[in-house]
Amino acid sequence: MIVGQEKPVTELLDMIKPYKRVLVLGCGTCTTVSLAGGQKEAEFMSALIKLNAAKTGQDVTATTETVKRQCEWEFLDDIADLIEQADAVLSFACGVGIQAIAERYPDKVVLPGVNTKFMGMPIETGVFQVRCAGCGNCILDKRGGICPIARCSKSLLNGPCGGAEDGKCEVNPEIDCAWYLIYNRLKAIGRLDDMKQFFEPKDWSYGRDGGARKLRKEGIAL
Amino acid sequence: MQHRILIIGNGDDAAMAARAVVAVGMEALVIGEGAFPIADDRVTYKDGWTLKHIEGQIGAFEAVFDTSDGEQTETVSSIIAATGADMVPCSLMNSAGDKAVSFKDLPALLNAKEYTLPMAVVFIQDADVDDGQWVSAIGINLARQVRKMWGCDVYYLCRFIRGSHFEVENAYRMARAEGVVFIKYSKDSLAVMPAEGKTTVSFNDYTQEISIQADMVVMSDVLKPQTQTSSLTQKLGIGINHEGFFQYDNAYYPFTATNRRGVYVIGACKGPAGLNDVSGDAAYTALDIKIQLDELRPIADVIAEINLFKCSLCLTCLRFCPHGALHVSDDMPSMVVYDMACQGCGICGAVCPAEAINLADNGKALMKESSGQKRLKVYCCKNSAKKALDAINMVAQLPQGVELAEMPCSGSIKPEELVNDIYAGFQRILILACYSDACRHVNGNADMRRQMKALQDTLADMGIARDSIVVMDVAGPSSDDVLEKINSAYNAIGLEVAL
Amino acid sequence: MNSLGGVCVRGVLIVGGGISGCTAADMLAQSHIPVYIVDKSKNIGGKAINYGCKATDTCLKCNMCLTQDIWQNVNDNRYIDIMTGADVLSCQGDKGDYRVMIRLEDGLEREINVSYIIVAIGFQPYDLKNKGFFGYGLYKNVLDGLDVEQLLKQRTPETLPFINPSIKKLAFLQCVGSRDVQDKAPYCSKVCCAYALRMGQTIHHYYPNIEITYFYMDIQEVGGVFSDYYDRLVGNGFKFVLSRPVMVEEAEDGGLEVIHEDLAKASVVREKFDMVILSQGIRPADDVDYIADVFDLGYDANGFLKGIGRWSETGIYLAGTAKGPMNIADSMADARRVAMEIITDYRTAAIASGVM
Ligand SMILES: Cc1cc2nc3c(=O)[nH]c(=O)nc-3n(C[C@H](O)[C@H](O)[C@H](O)COP(=O)(O)OP(=O)(O)OC[C@H]3O[C@@H](n4cnc5c(N)ncnc54)[C@H](O)[C@@H]3O)c2cc1C
Ligand code: SF4
Ligand code: SF4
Ligand code: SF4
Ligand code: SF4
Ligand code: SF4
Ligand code: SF4
Repeated sequence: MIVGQEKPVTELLDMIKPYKRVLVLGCGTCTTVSLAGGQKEAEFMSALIKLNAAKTGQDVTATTETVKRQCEWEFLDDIADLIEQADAVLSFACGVGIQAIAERYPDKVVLPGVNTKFMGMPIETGVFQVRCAGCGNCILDKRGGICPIARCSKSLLNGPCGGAEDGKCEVNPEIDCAWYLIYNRLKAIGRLDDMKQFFEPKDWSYGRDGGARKLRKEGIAL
Repeated sequence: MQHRILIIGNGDDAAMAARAVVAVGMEALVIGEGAFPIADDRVTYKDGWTLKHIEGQIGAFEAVFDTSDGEQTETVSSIIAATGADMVPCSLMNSAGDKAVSFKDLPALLNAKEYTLPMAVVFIQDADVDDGQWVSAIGINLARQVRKMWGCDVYYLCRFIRGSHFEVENAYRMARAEGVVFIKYSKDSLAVMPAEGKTTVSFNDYTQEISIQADMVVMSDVLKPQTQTSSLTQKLGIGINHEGFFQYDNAYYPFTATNRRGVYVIGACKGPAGLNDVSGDAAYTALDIKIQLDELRPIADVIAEINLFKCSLCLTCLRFCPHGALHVSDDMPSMVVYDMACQGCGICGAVCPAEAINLADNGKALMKESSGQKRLKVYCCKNSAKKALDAINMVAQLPQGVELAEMPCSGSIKPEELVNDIYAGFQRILILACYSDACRHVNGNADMRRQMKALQDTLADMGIARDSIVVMDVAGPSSDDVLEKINSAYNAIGLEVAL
Repeated sequence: MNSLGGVCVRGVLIVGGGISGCTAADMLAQSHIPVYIVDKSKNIGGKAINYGCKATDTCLKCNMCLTQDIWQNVNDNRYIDIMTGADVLSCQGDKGDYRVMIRLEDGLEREINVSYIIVAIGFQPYDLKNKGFFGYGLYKNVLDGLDVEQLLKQRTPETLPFINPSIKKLAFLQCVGSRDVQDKAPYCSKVCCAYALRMGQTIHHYYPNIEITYFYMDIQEVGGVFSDYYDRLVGNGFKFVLSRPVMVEEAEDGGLEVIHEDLAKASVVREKFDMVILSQGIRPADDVDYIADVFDLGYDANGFLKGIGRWSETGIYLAGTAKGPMNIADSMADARRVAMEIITDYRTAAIASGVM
């Protein structure tokens, strides 16, 4: 899932200052599940906006709505009216959803309610951790199912930096050293040889370079 | 319908549970490792089966087992964990030399045909920890037997005699009459050491240092949680206490019933306190199960409802529900509620990020209309504050501008609603919740406190005083305390320094 | 009469509406079995309804929270007919068909016809007049456990009503009227260690500077392993003195002196305290003989009630402290077990007669 984090309330209140009618828009998929931008957070923010307005004597209205996925125009079209009526949309989706609104409603102000953090999962109730860096050319088959790019602080592809202590990373002792995990896992599945597989420096043309990436699903794409 | 009860464990406690279950006309499916003492066609024993996980609710739990023939699934109406505890020798046994035996091993010696008669036997109770109720019952009887069979000097050292059962108190009196010498030693004064073919036991009896040369030292065993306890509590979705035994440390769980309806724990697996009356507990539990199964009714008047179109299956509610009352539907993309398990606490609703959960009466039961002015809003947990209010008809005594709302559990309070209250004009919000360890829904009060702390932080960032939201602990019997707490929260309004 | 699965059934008489009687009543009523509670006091609830909460910053598990639903459920329940200030006069008949004569508060008599009877007349706290040398009733700062329980009920956020600034040292005397062969109580009352240790912690929570001492012989079960608990109390500054005091006297300056044997000094010493709390024990109910007579019951070795024959044969059950010392949780469990046995019996009868 895409893991997000609500922006500090003061930042958001500042952001919406110029606008009178604000639509606080939750996203019903990733940010709901990562507890950052579902209906609950949207309602909470609306309530805070109203409260702040009352306190500071401003005339602001906040409307709340949540769509299944803000990153699909069809879902956005369902609430076209609400978007039209608002001076600004405060989106609680990840950056994808926010841009989807901006594209679909070119003359509408869209504001981010959430800081999009990473692709990850909950490791315990209310705690999320990154798992994938979206590098575009997956090497998990050779790394015991543990991604050194996402989980090693230095994104080392071919073995540990040597600084780990008791299995913890030297950069941040609160997290496990990815290479320690990789080694143990490869050992457990009897594939320690995979450690020897050397990767050339990553070809980021599959990942971050080459301009905005785009993907065609052959067979589906028209 | 024939009910079948799963009993986990094959020791004495499990046997008692199985007998009790059969006695009220139900069947037992018992799992364990090794032999099981009961042969009865209403009891099925599966040697070597271990529990993998359970699903379902009272009346129809699906229990999945690991067996030598692979995975097996059985449907059972209810579950009793009676896994017992490990009896381990106390730590002084190591230093005591070969003259030391444990309570557990003494009966074998007493029954042995050949032995050299000892001159002095010293029994030691409470060497590591102050053992539970059961220890004096066992120890005193052993001491009396030794005195009777071997006729030697018998000393019984302890910190306290656990004589709250009349039989034990009686045995204690008889033992003294028969010549067993009881001595109480002060904490940390005890030492046991081998010396020239004997064992020296030295201690302070509150008056002086004493040492006794013993031919034999008999020491109480220590009860320890079994290694499987913690993983079993997770599989069963029930609590564990700070000593590592079954059951939450919680005012609402002194009996055998757990936080998950239909799942029970009896005997030593609950720790020393669980040993007090295992057969009584077993009988009680079997009846309790039968009574409920014969006429299965929901436990709460109002239970959670999930809007399956809104649910995003984030699993948050599942992780928070204290009663194992939620599960992912097999045929719809939604969480669903077990109607017989839900206790209507509303904790799930307060954490659902999709606002997909509704509890019909949550916070709606307004007990007082505010007259014009909105000053204080009080959220009353129905398990504590509400009971205290009702007991003295407190509503009439409250000042103007106070509004009361009743909650099934303080854990059901949603931060956004409190923001709306402040928006509506309330100057302060008082949440009256239960003391820690006294939450009927296990940790609802702690869940609420965390949410409130985060809310206070957010409000503070906006320049709204933290003490706009005040949380206080109360209990049902303390009406005056509740009234005072409401009054003081009310009177302090306007006195706080704005941030 | 009322219906259970369509059959008209006679109800259940419960003699004594303490926590035991009320718990049984609540459970029976939930199964739609009509219940009559006869209590000789003005109100139901027995002793426990007047006890306070002992929580510090956390619950000390005094069991009072468990009772709160029961009181609420029993009042205004259409299956429960409560007669307070009433006495049972006589009981005739057999299992399934008892006729019990009751004298109501207004002096009128009423006969009820029931299938089962639960005797839950509870206990009597030890009468401290028998131990005049502890000064109860004589010195105002000598309280008993029951006094403290009831005063705890009036606790407020800042204060406990029975403590004032002059109180700096406080003693609990354990086993008062228990474990005493001469006093015809050769048994342990089971509840007083637990309640006294809780009270001490509550007092400490409000007034951490008060020095608290326990004079004890043994400390009984308080739940799990006692060691942790004990260490915590000693950490609070609590003192535990292994000694059974012989007397409490007023000191010249108005304080109290506890006279006891100091084991280490092998002599009798006088220690000054500002307040003494007597942890009184549990005795058989005051009219236990009368009730035994009306319902044809026996006694155990300590004078508590005992059934004659098996319950299921006579249909007369005992529940709670009428049977011997137990705390609230155990009384409730006992009462529930009795109620469940009766419910099972009713259901069996209903099935036998083909209506269920
Ligand atoms: C000082 C003290 C403190 C305690 N503190 C605690 C504690 O903190 N926690 C805890 O768990 N336990 C505590 N206990 C124990 C607790 O009081 C008992 O477990 C509980 O009250 C037992 O309830 P019961 O219904 O059996 O008896 P009772 O409470 O005695 O109720 C008996 C009822 O029967 C009625 N009755 C008696 N005779 C007759 C008759 N002839 N006809 C009609 N009605 C009759 C009485 O009026 C009364 O209402 C304490 C006990 C004492 C003495
Ligand atoms: S907009 Fe972002 S958060 Fe919402 S569904 Fe799409 S990817 Fe997930
Ligand atoms: S310690 Fe491990 S995780 Fe951290 S930077 Fe080095 S190799 Fe990477
Ligand atoms: S209301 Fe409480 S018991 Fe019911 S499903 Fe929600 S959290 Fe679970
Ligand atoms: S918390 Fe809400 S959204 Fe998440 S699974 Fe439960 S009902 Fe669905
Ligand atoms: S101390 Fe007693 S009354 Fe107070 S919260 Fe705990 S169980 Fe309830
Ligand atoms: S419970 Fe404690 S105070 Fe009460 S009689 Fe037993 S040992 Fe004495």
